[in-house]
Amino acid sequence: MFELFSDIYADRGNRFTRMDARAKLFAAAATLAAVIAAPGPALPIAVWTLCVMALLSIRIGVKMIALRMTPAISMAAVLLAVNMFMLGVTPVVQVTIGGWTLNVMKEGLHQGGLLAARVVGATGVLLFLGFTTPAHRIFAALRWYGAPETWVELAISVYRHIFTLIDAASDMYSAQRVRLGYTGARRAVGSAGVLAGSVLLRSLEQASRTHEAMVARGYSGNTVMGPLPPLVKTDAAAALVWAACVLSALGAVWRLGI
Amino acid sequence: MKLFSRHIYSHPLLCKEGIQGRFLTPPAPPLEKGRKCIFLFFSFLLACVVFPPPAHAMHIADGILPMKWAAFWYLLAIPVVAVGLRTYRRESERSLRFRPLAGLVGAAVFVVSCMPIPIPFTGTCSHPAGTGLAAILLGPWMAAVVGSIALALQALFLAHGGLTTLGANLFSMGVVGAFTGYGVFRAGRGVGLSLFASAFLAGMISDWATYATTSLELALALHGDGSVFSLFLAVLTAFVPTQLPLGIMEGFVTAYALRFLSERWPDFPFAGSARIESSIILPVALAALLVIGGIYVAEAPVGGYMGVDDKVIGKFASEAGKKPLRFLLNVEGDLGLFLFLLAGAAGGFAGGYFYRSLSIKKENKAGKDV
Repeated sequence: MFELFSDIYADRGNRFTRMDARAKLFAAAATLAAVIAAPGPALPIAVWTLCVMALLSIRIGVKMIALRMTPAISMAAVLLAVNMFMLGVTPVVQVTIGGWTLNVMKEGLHQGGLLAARVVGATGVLLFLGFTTPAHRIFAALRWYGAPETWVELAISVYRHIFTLIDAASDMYSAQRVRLGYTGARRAVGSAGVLAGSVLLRSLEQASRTHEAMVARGYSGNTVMGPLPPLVKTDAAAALVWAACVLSALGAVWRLGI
Repeated sequence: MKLFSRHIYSHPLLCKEGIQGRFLTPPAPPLEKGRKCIFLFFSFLLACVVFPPPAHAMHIADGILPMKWAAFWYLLAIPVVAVGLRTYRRESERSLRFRPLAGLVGAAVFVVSCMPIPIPFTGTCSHPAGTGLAAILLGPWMAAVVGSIALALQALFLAHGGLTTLGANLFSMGVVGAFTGYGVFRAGRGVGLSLFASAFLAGMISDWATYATTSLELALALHGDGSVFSLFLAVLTAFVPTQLPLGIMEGFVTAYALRFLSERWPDFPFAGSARIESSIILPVALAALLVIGGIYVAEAPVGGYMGVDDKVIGKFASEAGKKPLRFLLNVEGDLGLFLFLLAGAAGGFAGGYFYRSLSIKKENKAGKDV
């Protein structure tokens, strides 16, 4: 699980991880907007290619990228299938399965293909952001952009405790497995329930201990969030240039209709 | 770490030595290149639809919803999170213990929502949504806040869901899932069901409600010129192979987890056991009305709906040979119908809400019926 959280890779030192998180968040938001507004698949595919190339250049494995893309691609495939059989009036391919004739419609295929391209492009942007920015910097950047402080505080607290609990859950899961806890669906569900209950119980006990430790250190109800570092001007300029390029590309694809 | 690895159910025949890789029938003639491409393409689609990979499909990915729908779901979800944050601040001021408790229970629910549970029909593993569990433990408002954090973390670091679709995913999971789970748990306990049965129903129905809402969100955004309802049914059907058994499994996981917790901590204050605040009802009713209004507008035929006056009253009037008079207050089209719907819903809500005071006899101080 630890290696599945993308931001474990963000602790490496490279040109992308050293960039200011606020600049990256701005650039990512502009790129996402352009991908969603794209009239055809050209821009999303180009964005995805650039993101994957950037990730490969900082030695993120192909397998990891493919693993991350799987859920998005599966959903895009479902939507492609639904769209091409249900939307439109111009049949392009006829498929007969067990006496049932299905018509693939041109309009649906176009719409489904566009959606799939947008999903792939947007997921590429998220992957780039997640693989190059640690969680605490993203939360700090969100606070800088005006996200509620209580939300940010709770998010940091949740994120921090996830790893403590995952460690405990993993040990319990291994113990259950060696005691044949997951043999068969029925037993697996029971074991999963007991594991979930144990994790919850552990979290409640840990919460009590954490509270006592916080009070011992002078906690009086306010969590002090440190000041944010000044925005790095070169990173901000790079993000602005990137956003301008992406939006110009969007204008171009709108004009060309691709 | 094996916790999140997929279970692979290999066919036992394929694993037998000597069988693997051998073909007992003569090979089929090669397909033409174009037909081969089409065959492979459809096989891939069929595999994705019928045998989806671990079903994270409940989270709508970035790029699927157009901007206006993404903004619409954000607008619906943000007020609920705002109320949740207010609850968090209020409870934190009341007890210093609440902050670490909320953080840790939120983390626990996130971990539980990442646990693999087997899906019998597809032979894969999936993960529960966990919102029903969170709502029972923390209450629906806080469950929405925890849901927003979990979805943001999943979008950023696990590439499940997305940032532009966070509002839609939050509405389906954090709002509909949490409130449904909470309501079902409360109702179950209210009618005398055991903790296990109530938690099972809450987990199962909150999961199904979440995926039904996701299907509705997709249908509303993507129906084009077609019918919202038929696309909704199509998307719903596409998700059935994974989400139907997953809901049942989630119900069992929720039930076992809560039973385990209540056995170890008998006086644990489940939020689902608390009194429902009357302030909950109005925002939920308003959110439901907004959703109905959104669907109503999206489903409108070209040229708008025909008014009740034209369709019903006008028909009978013309049959009776009467001519229509000018309206005193001319509110026409979809707005008029929407106001009509709003008035009906408000009347129904008021009638239901004050039903007790109409039906239950009040007693005066002397104990006599008034």
